Amino acid sequence: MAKQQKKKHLSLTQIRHIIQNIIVVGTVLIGIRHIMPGKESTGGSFDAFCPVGGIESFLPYVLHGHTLKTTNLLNFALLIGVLAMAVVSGRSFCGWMCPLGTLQDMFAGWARRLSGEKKHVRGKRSKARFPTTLPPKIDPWARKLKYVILATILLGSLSAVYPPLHAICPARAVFSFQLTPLLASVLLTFVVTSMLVKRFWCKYLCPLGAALALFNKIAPLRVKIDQTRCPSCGRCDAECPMDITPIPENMRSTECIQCLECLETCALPDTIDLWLG
Amino acid sequence: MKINKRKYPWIILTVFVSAVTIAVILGLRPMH
Repeated sequence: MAKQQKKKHLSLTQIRHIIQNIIVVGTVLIGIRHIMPGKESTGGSFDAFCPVGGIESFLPYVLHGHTLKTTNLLNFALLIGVLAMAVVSGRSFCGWMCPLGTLQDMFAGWARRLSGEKKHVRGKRSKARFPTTLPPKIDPWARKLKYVILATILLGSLSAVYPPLHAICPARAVFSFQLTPLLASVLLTFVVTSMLVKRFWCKYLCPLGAALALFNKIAPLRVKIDQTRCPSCGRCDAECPMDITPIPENMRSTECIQCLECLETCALPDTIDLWLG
Repeated sequence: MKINKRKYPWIILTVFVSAVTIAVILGLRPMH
């Protein structure tokens, strides 16, 4: 009998990790390029390669006709790319492309292993002590902090010379290889908080995440759940990197980063699907 | 309309790359 060979595809999670890791490597290369001689030919400073710089320079450019120092028009091009993604699929940039998100997922994995998890079983809530979550009374309020930071950055940018986040930006701390004492402490804080709480930066502090969050309400490409099939087993909740619980009642949450881990984890076919419109 | 989940990465990457490319072509790039 001829042996049937099934073509094995990469899972969505594997594809996501490949994309994320390519972008992390690319960002590291940009950082390395900027500490090498001749950086004038690289299209500006390291900051010019971050869409957050587009947010920081938006109002100064519109009102005063110039970008803030260390940013340039490339920031706007990247921001437009991220916003285009958001219009189509909400915060998918956070889940699929942001290099800080990738590192936070990696640090969370390290924390799980260091605090007792031997092997991660998909869909099963980890018994590891870390990463944990903030107390339920604090968590929803803490998640609003990123909107305050976004508003502060937009207002602060009007009178700023350098981007408001320039001195404390975690992306610069991780990838620019130009550590000041302040950036070193930001780096340490970023690593530790990512190990204590999953996606700490994305949940509570990221101004770009805050700007993209509102698009989750209108984006046509999104995950939908068939409530009549869902047994509320909690498998999807266990895998959600943003700790959105319960997922079935929060499919349009502003916190969703469209990583599609819920879709990948659901054991029942045709219960969680991807829909356009 | 239900979408094949395997198309999702290609859709978002295409949207991002297209938008950035158009923005750069239209002039949003560093000046020298």
